[in-house]
Amino acid sequence: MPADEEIAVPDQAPPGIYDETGRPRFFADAGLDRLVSVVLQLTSEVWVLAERLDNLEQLASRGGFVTYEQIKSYAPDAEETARRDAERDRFVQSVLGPLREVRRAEK
Amino acid sequence: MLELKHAMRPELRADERARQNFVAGLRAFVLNDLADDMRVAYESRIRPQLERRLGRPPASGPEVHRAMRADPMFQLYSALRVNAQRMVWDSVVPVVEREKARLSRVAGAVRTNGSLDLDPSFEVPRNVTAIDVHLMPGSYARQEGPDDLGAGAIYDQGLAVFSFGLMGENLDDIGRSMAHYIRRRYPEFRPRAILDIGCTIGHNTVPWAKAYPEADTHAVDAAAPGLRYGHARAALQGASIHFHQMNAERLAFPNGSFDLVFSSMFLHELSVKTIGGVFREARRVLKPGGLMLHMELPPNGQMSAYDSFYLDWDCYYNQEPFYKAYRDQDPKALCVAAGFDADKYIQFVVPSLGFHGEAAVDAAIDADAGEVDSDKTGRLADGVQWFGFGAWT
Repeated sequence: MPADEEIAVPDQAPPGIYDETGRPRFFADAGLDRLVSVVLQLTSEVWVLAERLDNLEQLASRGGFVTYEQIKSYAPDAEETARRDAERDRFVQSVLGPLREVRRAEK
Repeated sequence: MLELKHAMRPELRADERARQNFVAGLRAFVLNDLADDMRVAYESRIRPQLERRLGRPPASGPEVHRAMRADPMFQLYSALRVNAQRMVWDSVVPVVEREKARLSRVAGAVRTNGSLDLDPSFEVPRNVTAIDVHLMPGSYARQEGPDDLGAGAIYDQGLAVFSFGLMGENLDDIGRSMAHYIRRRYPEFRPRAILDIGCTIGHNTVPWAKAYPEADTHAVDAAAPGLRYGHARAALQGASIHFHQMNAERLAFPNGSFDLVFSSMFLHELSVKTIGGVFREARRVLKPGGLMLHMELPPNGQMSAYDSFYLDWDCYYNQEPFYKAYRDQDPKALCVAAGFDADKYIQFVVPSLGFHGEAAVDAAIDADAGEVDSDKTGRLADGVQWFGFGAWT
């Protein structure tokens, strides 16, 4: 069984890489570390809404009544999954693309 | 997104699938696109500065790491990656909470020629319980009752999101690639008894059991929830595997029990001292002519300073306290220190079967390539290759 001190900060860690709660920090301004979490959460919520809307459109386009349970349990088939994955990748690139080094250099 | 194909997977509601889908896409963006950009930033900006300051090329991962810390590309890559890791678990834990009772019922009804052998008095080692390894909430050993398999289900579903398709349909690409390699490379090797050490949920045990169906396959791990889950998961994939709750340093098997003792992505969770104990124990339970084999991250000694830094990122920012110390070891020296013969050491690199296809794996076997491709080996990104090493007894 390893002793406790073996499960501490890994060796050769540069100083100041964790905040006072032990979480990694990366930016000179700690507010930026928190803002990254906000941006990503928000982006995730937008995508969840986009899929929900997509599901509703798929179900509605079939005609007839749509039940709550159908909406909640909707599962795309393989073809639709592939289309949606491609859309998701475009979405991620379009929202987070400005973070990219290469794209900035090309502009 | 990758959806697991086996019958123990949790059923996803539409919003849960969407959330996981986003996180998988985010992970792919960070580990492919931002990772590429970070290398561009290093080559164009950081490395020239660093070389001027040092008066020589950087010699190690930590040197590169210190220089990278101040660069915005490193900061963005890292902040996004840490958040994405937390979001993996956030997208998975509520699903398993909702599905856990049903999964326990499914597991309870499973009929198999395999078995599940749990030890209520087992003392789980502190490297499993003391921290949330991989930032997985509650760690791998937490259990709320005698049937609790939640941590196993969380790991399975989490790994599916985490790996964004690069670890295979049922997260078995490592096992499939390695087993394919060994079968093709050593056709005369026909193991009758196989042992997987540190198996978690047996996701990489199943392909070995299928590659050698005539063998008795056993798998051990310290954490009971994963074993409960893995036992049912394997059975529902048609694999008869004997799961045991055991410490890999103290196996309850007689000397000379196995032809093959293997692990997959296990050693980097252990201290170097523990690895020594595990290797000696593997050697003890192997028959003469048997093989100890590990799929692992490639060693720092065989990589560039930048690629060392890149892989060791997890040690500092993903709750992998032993990761770097393990990667600083020479795998051959570890085998020799445990009593294996230096002449019987093997190492190889297998292109991922799922990503590159069987022809590419066969080509690698024919070329007998053991060299680590510093950029692609062990790196979860497009083009991934797996590193394997071990020794014959």
